Parts: sequence; C-alpha cells; structure tokens
Amino acid sequence: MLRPRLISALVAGGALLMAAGIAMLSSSVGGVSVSLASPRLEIEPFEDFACLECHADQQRLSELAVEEEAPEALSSGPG
Amino acid sequence: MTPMEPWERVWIDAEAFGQDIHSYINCTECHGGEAVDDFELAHEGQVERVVNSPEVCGRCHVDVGPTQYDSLHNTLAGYDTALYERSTPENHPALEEMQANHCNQCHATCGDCHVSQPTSVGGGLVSGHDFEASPSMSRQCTACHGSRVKNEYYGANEGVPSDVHFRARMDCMECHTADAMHGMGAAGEQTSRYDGAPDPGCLDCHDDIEMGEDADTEIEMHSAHDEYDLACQVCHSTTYTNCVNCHVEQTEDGVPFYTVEDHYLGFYIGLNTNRSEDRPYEYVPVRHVPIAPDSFSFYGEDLLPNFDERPTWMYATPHNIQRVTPQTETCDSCHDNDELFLTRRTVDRAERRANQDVLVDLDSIP
Repeated sequence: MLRPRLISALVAGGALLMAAGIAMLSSSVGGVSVSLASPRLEIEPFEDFACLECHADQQRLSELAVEEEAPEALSSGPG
Repeated sequence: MTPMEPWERVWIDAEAFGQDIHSYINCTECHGGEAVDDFELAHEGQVERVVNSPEVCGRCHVDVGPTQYDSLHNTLAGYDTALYERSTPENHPALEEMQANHCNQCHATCGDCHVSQPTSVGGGLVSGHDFEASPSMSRQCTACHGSRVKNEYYGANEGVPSDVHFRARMDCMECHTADAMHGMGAAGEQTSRYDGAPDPGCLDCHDDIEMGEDADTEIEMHSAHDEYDLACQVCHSTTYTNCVNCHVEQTEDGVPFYTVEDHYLGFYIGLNTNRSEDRPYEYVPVRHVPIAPDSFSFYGEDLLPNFDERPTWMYATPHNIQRVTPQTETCDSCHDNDELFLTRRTVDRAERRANQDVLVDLDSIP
C-alpha cells in the first residue's frame, strides 16, 4: 500500500510542476542566458499508482524480479 | 562494482522519490506500458531505459535536452570520426552494425547519468529512482569509463599512484562540467573529445601557472618551456594502459564479445597531430589504441582500407596526474632519453606508416 505521504505529494503535484516549468524557463546556462522555447506544460494528474504500488514494495519486487540468465562473458582484456 | 540484486534495480524509494519533482509525472509518460495490476500487461511495450527526446526529458529540459541529444556523450560520434577516417562510405553500414553490437551500450542517455547505472554494468536504479543532478563517479561515470580512466584515476594500475585530483577528493564533475557533458557551447561543435580547446583544461583552475622565459615562476621547468613546447601531461602524467589488437565478433547464438590481445603499462611522448591554436604544444603523451586492420573482420572484409590514415598512437590525457613524476626529476629525465619518446624503435613495423606524423625522430629528440 502506498504511503499516504507519497500519495498526497503526488496528487498535489500539478501546481508544483507548473511552477518548476516556469523556473526552468528563466534558467541560464553556463552564465549565459539562453533563449528557451516554451515547454509543453500539459500536466496530467498523476494516476499511475499501480506502478508505484509494486515498484515501491521491496518484498513484492523480490518475488517478482527474476535474474535474467546472463550469457557467458566471453570478452577478454580492457574494455 | 557490486552487482545489484534484481529487485534493487527496479525499486523505487518512495520517500526519496516522493520529494523529486519527477515523481509528479506519470510513470507511463516516460516508460510506456500501462498502469495496471497485471504484471504482463503493465510491462507490454514498456521502455526500461528511457532515451532523451523532445517528448521525454527534452519536454521540460528545453535548454539541455536538444544539445544533450546531439552531444558526443550521447551520440558517440567520436567513434564515427575515428572509424570513418580509416574506412570508406560503402563500409559505413557494416561499421554501424558493429558499433550497435559492441559500442553503443555506452550511449549516455539522461538516465545513465542521473537515474540509473549504465547498461554496460547491468543497469539498475542508483537512488531508488531519485534524480541526481550530479552522477556518481563510482556507479555511473566509471561504469563506462572503466578500464583506462578509472584505473588511472583511482590508482588501480600496479605501481602507479592515483591522480592527485582523486586524492584531493575531486570527482569527475569537478572538471567535466554539466555544460560540457550536455554538449553546450563549444562542446556542441566537437567531432571528438580532443576537438577544439581543452575542456577541461588544466589552466581553467591552475590559472596562476606561467610558462616561458619571461614567466613569473620559481619552477625551473616552467620557465624552460612554453605552451608551444609540450602539454602539461608530458611532465605531469605517468605510465598508463596501452592496448593492442582488439577484435570483435559474435557467438553462434549472436552474443557479441571482444578480445584484446594484449595490454601493458607505458608512457610515451609523441608529436601532437592535433596541433592548433587551442592545442599549440608540439609534444604530447600518446596512448596505443587497439585498432587493427582486421579488428572488425567478423562484420566484413577489408572494412578499414584507409587504416594508415589515422595513427594508432593517439594524443592522450591520462587521468594519473602527479606533481612529481620521473619526467620532472631532472632535465635529463626527458632530454636525450630515447626511451621516453615514441620512435621507430617503439612502434611495430606494420604501424609505422600510420604513425609517421606521431613518431619523434631519434635525431630530433630535444
């Protein structure tokens, strides 16, 4: 189950992302101001909780994540 | 580098990632797939290793995204520069196939520096999917830049101390700035990493160093030479890895692999074939690169018909800088010391023509 703190943070994300995008518009690079194109700030509400339910659950990942059988390492010498 | 457990590679640290602004973006926007409970369905069409594009990272990072996409770090265009100079256009498709199988896993996507370990070491989220502004030297930079740079910098070559900058607790980003890695400014014009002015350059930090007979310095060797004589590394680098004869091929099952016939430690001073206003020095350290005329024979015959158009001893900037080296002991450490210079006696007969512009004539050793 996702932690309540994370859920509330995600749900409140839209305004913060918008603000960050505006901040990025005014950033300068290497001391030189760069003319920036307007970013596409089409912010969708966060909905992918199913992804996080699994990927934030260490025990569940331990059961599901399977080590792929790596091919025999045949390379030799400095890479 | 300790391999990551399978679960570790895909584990999201909810606490840390929840503080990251990227956590407000739906997972499927960058990774594809579907946000459903069914394991198979969720990962159908999923992109594990996200590549920078205007629709992904470049969507918000409009200043960095486009330049990073065209940067040497992402395109590995430096390899193309080197290979194409030894080849002809009709061989480019075969060489590109070769690179796709053997070289391109070191394409540095945004994630390879800011989120995960590179594919070359098995991938995996470094900080629970938290985005780090500065990459980890041990888990990211040296994951790709391992056999030469890492060993030199860390002092892992037997009998060779670590770089003084490593001992000063400096990581890669102290010199190799974000702008350079992102291909911004002059870095965006490079066709190889030694194109244009040194970036980083020693004098970027050591700007108090003066050289030449009018220099305000107590260092005799600095007043005895000027910037047209030798690169800093000629005096301040020490022995480094040189590789010989790399060949690539695939197993019957299509698993690519390489074999480097030999490698050894050595230090050689050669002529600078890249001499320019930005790099005016006559002498530079040179490192042997393991290219051979038949390195890629698995992918076609005679893919490098112009093999001799480019040296096999290449301008090098070894990451093993010392203040005091064998070269700095006395003037005679270099002058009249044939062993230190790349001469006809040092170079394999079959490679002398390729290296004719690099070799120092025995009669001309200063």
